[in-house]
Amino acid sequence: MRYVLVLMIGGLGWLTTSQAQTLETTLSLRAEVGSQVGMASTSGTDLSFQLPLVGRLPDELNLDTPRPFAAFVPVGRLQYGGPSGSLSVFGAARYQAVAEHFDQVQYAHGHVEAAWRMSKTWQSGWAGVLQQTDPNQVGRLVWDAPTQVKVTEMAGLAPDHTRFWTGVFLEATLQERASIRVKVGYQRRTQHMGKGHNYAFTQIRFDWYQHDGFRIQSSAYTRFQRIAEARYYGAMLRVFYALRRMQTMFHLETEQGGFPLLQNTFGEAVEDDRILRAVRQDRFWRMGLTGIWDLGADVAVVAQLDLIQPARAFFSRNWHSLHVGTGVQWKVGRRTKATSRAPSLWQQEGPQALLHFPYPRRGDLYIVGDFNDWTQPGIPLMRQQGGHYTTTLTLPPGRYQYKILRVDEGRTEWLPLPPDALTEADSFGGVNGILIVDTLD
Amino acid sequence: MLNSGRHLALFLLVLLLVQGTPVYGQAVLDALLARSQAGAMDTGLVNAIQERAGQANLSPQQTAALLMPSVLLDEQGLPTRMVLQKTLEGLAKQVPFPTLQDVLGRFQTHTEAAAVLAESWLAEDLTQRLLQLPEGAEERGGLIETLTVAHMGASSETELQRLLERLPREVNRPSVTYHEVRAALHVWPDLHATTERADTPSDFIIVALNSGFSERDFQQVPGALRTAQQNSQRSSIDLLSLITQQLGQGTTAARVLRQLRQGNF
Repeated sequence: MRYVLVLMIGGLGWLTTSQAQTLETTLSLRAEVGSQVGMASTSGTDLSFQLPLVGRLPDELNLDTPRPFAAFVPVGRLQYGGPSGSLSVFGAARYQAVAEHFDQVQYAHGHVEAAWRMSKTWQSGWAGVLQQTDPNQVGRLVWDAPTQVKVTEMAGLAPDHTRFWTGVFLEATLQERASIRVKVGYQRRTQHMGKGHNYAFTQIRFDWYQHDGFRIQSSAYTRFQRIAEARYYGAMLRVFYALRRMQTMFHLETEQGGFPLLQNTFGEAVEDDRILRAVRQDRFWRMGLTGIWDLGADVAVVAQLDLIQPARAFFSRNWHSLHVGTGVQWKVGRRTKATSRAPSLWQQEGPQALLHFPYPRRGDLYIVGDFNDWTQPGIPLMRQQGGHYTTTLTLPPGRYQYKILRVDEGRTEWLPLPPDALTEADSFGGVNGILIVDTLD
Repeated sequence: MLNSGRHLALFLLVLLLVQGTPVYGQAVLDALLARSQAGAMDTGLVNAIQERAGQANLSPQQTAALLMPSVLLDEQGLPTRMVLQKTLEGLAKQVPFPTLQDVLGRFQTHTEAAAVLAESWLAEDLTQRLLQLPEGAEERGGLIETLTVAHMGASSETELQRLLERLPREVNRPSVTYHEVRAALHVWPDLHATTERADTPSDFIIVALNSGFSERDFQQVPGALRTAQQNSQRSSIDLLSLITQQLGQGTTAARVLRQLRQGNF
């Protein structure tokens, strides 16, 4: 048995913003402590223990763009067993910075990862992701150009392999519940002891939001790689092979008070690689169940059960895995209320106000107010990825009152306003949200 | 005299019809609608109220009772938009008729009182110089609406009068705009968390206007103050005094608001 320290350090993220707006940034601290036990066999048994500590740092800043940051420190993992009878200890620290700019153009994501592992290999690397997205509404077209470079070293030698990929994808929201995404990319993978590989890939993903908390996602991935090339005078023949991956996932989520209560994911993935082996096909299904119980006071209990079962596996050993995890999530720090994040609920662009409401999985929502003479159901809010709703209003300068209305199969319900919203009493014992469109000087 | 006579006649008519038959109720509603069309009321809003009251199964008498405060204000040359919008809001929220009628009545009373305050305030040269109000009923109406909100939230009319007296004399930043003054007056009632040291909210308003608070800055103050109160365990009046002092020493609006949200006191 051999123990090797694995170290992976990596990553850096950037953000881009297009416009200086007087916006507020809210950062809060969150800690998560939990444990996870996993088993995998048929030729052996893995036992793992995980103690994740997740932090979101630090406090709020007054920058030109909302810029939440997240830090994940440290994750410990003890693993025993497996086909070779190995014992490993794993620890990781991850720092993640996420920047969002909702005015009209783009937001960017980046993350930093650092990890160490005591196992059979020693590894270090870094990775960064930059992407830009245009969050609009129905009929929108999103473009995204992520780029990632990852360098992996094994056992302290020269880099074992370097991976670089870049791509662009377009996402079209067909209607409120459906979106389709087409991704085209290029990847280069260079191995220390071998030849590098270049390939292009395409991915088509279809998302359908059937109902509150239920989503079907289906994707097809194809990788094209040149494996041979022949030239005969002016003619050239290139031979490609394709790796295809089909994956369909079903997500079912319920919530309680805006907090996810149960998350269930099951699906199937088929991968077919015709070059590394004559036939390589892995098929498995996976079912996960996660419960999060909000205890109030920014504390939640998390429980997780995850079962992965292969239906057929040629390339890898026949295995199955069961993970059980529990944890406590605690949001530390001052939660900003009322006015603090209020400006991020809307941004003014000329006479238009872009409104953004963080209502995760809430169904069909509308904004109603004095700007539309309280006419119901009002102006629809469009669901965006990441659990929020947006709409754009064109209003003359002024001060407006509004409420958010949920319509579900003919039934209507006034939703409580986000805690960050500017509000005032409505004289009927409730509160209205306030929207101010500044005078354009 | 003429107005009070109209009020009395209308009151008696509505009183009669509330007790009367649907036919009479419809007649009064029709008469009221005719009077609203003769004035400067937004007929689109009036029609919307009539339509939605019908959808809410309100009788013509009840609909007339909901429209009456707006008609009475309109006949005095006072703004009606806020009351009409409040009527639509109440109907949208399915507020019970007695509550809605009571709220609209209070809006009418406060609007009339605010109009008296506004007229005397606007008559002063210093006020005109402060607001640089363009000629037009729209701005005057907007100011009356703002003062109505302030009047409803003030613990006494005297306090509001004192603030109005101080504003043109103590606000000396030349670039202060009418919209900023309106925003300041709008949030002023929210700052009255306690009657102790009643001048403190007014002191803050004046210093903030002199320090360059924008409309949006003012709107953020009540919420930021609540956050600061929770985070620092200090009373809102203490915090208000503190930030008034800081603004007086040259601290910027953005910094003060940030400090409130962070509760660093």
